[in-house]
Amino acid sequence: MNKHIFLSGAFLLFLFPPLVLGGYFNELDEPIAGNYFGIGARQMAMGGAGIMSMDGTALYYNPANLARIPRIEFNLGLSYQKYKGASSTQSVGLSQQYNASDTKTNTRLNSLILSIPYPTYRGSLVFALGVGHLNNFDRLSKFYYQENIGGAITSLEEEAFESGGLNQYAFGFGMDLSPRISFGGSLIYHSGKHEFNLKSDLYQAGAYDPLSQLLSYRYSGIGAQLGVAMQVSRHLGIGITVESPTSLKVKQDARLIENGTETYGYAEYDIKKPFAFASGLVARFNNFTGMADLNYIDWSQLEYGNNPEMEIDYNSQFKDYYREVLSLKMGAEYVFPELGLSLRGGYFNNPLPFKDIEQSGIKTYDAKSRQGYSFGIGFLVDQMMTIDVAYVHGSYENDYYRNAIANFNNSVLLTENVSYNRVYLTGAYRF
Amino acid sequence: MKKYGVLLIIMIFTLMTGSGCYTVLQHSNDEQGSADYGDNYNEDYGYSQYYYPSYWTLSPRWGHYYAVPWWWDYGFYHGSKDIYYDDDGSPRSSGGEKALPESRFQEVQPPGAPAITRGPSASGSSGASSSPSGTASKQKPAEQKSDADSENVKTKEKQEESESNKPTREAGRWHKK
Repeated sequence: MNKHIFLSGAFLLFLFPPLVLGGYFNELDEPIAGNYFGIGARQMAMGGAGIMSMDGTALYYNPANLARIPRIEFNLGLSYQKYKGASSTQSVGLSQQYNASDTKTNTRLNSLILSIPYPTYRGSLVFALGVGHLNNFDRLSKFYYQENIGGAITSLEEEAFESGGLNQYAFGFGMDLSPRISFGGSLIYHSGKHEFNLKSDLYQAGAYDPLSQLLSYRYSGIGAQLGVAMQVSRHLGIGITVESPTSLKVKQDARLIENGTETYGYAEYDIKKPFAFASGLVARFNNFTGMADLNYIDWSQLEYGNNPEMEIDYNSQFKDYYREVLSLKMGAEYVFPELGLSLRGGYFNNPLPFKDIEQSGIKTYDAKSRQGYSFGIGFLVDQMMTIDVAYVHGSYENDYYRNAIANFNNSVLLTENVSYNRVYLTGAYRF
Repeated sequence: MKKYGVLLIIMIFTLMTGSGCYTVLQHSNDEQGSADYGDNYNEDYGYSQYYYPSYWTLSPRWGHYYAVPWWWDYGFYHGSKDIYYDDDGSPRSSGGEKALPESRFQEVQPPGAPAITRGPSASGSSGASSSPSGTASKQKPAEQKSDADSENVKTKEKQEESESNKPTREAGRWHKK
């Protein structure tokens, strides 16, 4: 959220007076960092592990495994998310807590993928084309805080709605390089939107000072992904993927309404996303399948570009606020073949990309790990079609210490508890 | 970074088209057939069944459908077409032709591929076992006979051809002697 404050500080200062509680996040909060959503109900039911999965979603997880698709496949997925943001605030040294919470739901297209195997004498060559909603910006934050200042109550209520996400339009292929090794690649066009809508109402000595802000970001850029998969034995397979750095062009529209006065602004810049690496493992024993993925990305290598002001002022700060992240996703599946029924479960640990911050011996930001569990069920219908459903629950906590808040006297402790429940529904038809 | 990406794409394309690749494409008008390529891949591993869960090939519910390439259904090898099983294992076919449960897999097998058997498998997980044949008819698919009566004749022809068309590998490519 503080990206908005950050941008206002860069060159839109007149548009965006400093927010109060809304300024609790790190200075740089880029939504493209750490907001992975995932695609495919089967994969998401298994904790999000998909590097070694053998369906159309391999276009995004590991294009090398497209080579394992023997039939033309059409894959369509939907997702539903219920996001809950809850917060508590209190003055340092006082016991009185103020709680606020709200929920936000979104239903979106999750995946639309067509995979086409080319006839081969030996080995395999499969092409795929599709779109996936892999990054989700749907988010909600709500806060309330008050102090008794000079016998009068001063209070602040803030609520921020964020929505949007990045869609990845991809074209890729997977082919066998040897009986046990396959290779694949994909070109990905990233396109998406992020909308940030803030309402901040301040009551001070009987006066009401409302403020609302609407920021709209449009993203576009091209990236690529390469992957390799190897079947080590009949029971064990491993895979590795590398996603290229991606430069996303960002166009920002801003609108601020304060005391009935509207102001507008526009800015353009690039945000450069660093390399991303992933490895995965699959183990199959009769009707049991276990999968695990490890994903690595160093978010401190984020950079702004194509805007000298931002590059000079803020690129050096990414390393202070962001960190490298190693996330684990793992899950298992058991199939009852004669019923065409699959039961799945999984676990994931996907840490937030932010560093803990300490200033003058006081920890001003403490990010707890983001983790969760998942489970799901899959059906095979008439040999040709699969229907998979997954439920994912994740949660994390942010703790903040705010030393100086405009219009207030005390330092504030703020705790934000975020939880989300997601449902994925994916159908795949093999022609 | 864009320059590296372009260079990488050029290198991969050059490697795969210049020096050859394990994967060999099939063209519908190719008269040579897969016999020229010595399908040790299929013989050794089965068509990708090495990777697949065993129930894809063993369970009637799956009917082997998920493990069989789509072009095998359309007579690229033996003229079989659109044949698959019901969930209870009974055969179905389009065009009014009844397919026998055991014949379906044989019909969709490419030349040189292992014969796939149903039921408890000797190989344990895939249900596939290798056949001695390593070659195919050199007829165009459209010219191939699909009658069951001709199967014995074709098998004999394949065995004879396997001796004369035994493939060798040379400079990374497969060539017919």
